[in-house]
Amino acid sequence: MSDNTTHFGYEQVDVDAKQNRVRGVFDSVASNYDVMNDLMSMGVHRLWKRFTIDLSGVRQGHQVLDLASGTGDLALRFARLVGREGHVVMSDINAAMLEQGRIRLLDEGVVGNVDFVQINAETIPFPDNSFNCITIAFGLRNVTDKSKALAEMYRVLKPGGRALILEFSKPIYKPLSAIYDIYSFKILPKIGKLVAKDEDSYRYLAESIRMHPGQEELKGMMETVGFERCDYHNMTGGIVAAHRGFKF
Amino acid sequence: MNEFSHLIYAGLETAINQYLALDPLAYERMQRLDGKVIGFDFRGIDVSLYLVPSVNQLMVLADHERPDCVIEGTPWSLARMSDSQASSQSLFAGEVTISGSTALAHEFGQFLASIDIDWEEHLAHIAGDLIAYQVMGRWRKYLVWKQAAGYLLGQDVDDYLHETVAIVPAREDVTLFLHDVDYVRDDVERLAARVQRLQVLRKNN
Repeated sequence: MSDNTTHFGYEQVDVDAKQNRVRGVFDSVASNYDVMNDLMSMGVHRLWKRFTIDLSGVRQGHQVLDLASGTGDLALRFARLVGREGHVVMSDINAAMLEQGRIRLLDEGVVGNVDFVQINAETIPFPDNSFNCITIAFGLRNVTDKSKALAEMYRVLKPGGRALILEFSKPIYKPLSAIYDIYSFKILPKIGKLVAKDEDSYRYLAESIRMHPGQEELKGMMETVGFERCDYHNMTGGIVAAHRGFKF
Repeated sequence: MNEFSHLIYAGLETAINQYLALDPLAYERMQRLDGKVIGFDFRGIDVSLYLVPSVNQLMVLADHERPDCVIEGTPWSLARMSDSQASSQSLFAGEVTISGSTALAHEFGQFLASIDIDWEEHLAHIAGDLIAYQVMGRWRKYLVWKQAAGYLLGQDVDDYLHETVAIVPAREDVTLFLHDVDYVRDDVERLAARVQRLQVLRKNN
């Protein structure tokens, strides 16, 4: 990878162009995002997110930043956990996804302790030491400069706070890896074509997963920017991992 | 992470909220508990769950680092907490312990007891008013019969054990026997004291 290019799935693109390409993908999938998530993961993504909530330690009165919120699966539950005295910032770089999330939270009756902000995770517009917990679920792999995003997350975290990164990772069992590859590259794009009428976006999603750092590499990246007591929890044989790091 | 156990928690959360939704005022009454965390530790099966009342939903979590109160007991003793008399007995006998805010535990118990579901109304949506009325009427009659029959059965068993086969003494007989035991014990203690006094006198002489 040269200084001016980065990966967009298996394709090499200009660094400046990646954000627009990712935006294009999520503009396309926004309206079917929840349905496709359920179809692609057979509903298991809800269990992955529930486990992430358990790891978060979020409680009443906390300040939480949810990056790449999408349609608000995590933000919704955080808003209920922090109560009236707490606050959740639901954010996404993609306006279409953020709008879907905002509508969903309003439909669920969750108002008053949530703000909706369009944010690029590489430049988080909040002061240092602002949040008790920061989460990013299935979003880090779409960020152009992951280290910069991790550094920003560390900066805006309060001392004693923690960051959680839920993301696709590397399967730990070889047979599972083979099945996963077939599923990702052969079946998922076909589901995307059938349901969302967009095969290419779902092919990108599968490719971007393969280009994302594995468990140990991502843990190392977190430690490099300053996170301490970093650990990760493999889920569904390592297909997904939840990384956690603290700021002391 | 155990996906299966989280599936159970998710299913439980869905079931509980569907149940609460049957009482139109349940969520409104739950507002007082908004954001509080009530933990349950099931002794013997090593399972915990945490309930978090919030707007329009009671969340069920597998883990929480700082619950506001934790109610610990065996599954059977915790299930009996729904009965106010049995719950007091369980607490005083140590079968159920509460750590953290006991006021919150009590308030949560009151919330559960206040859930009032009009089953006839819900059945009427499915089967019509007439059938719902008849079904619920029969159900109420059954509950009354069950209570009366349970009481009579208890009386009959009591009479059989105490009077017919007499393998269990009556309460009055047991009380008299225990009084006699107390008298004998006191007499023995008096005798022992007298013997000791005589021994001391003999020694001095």
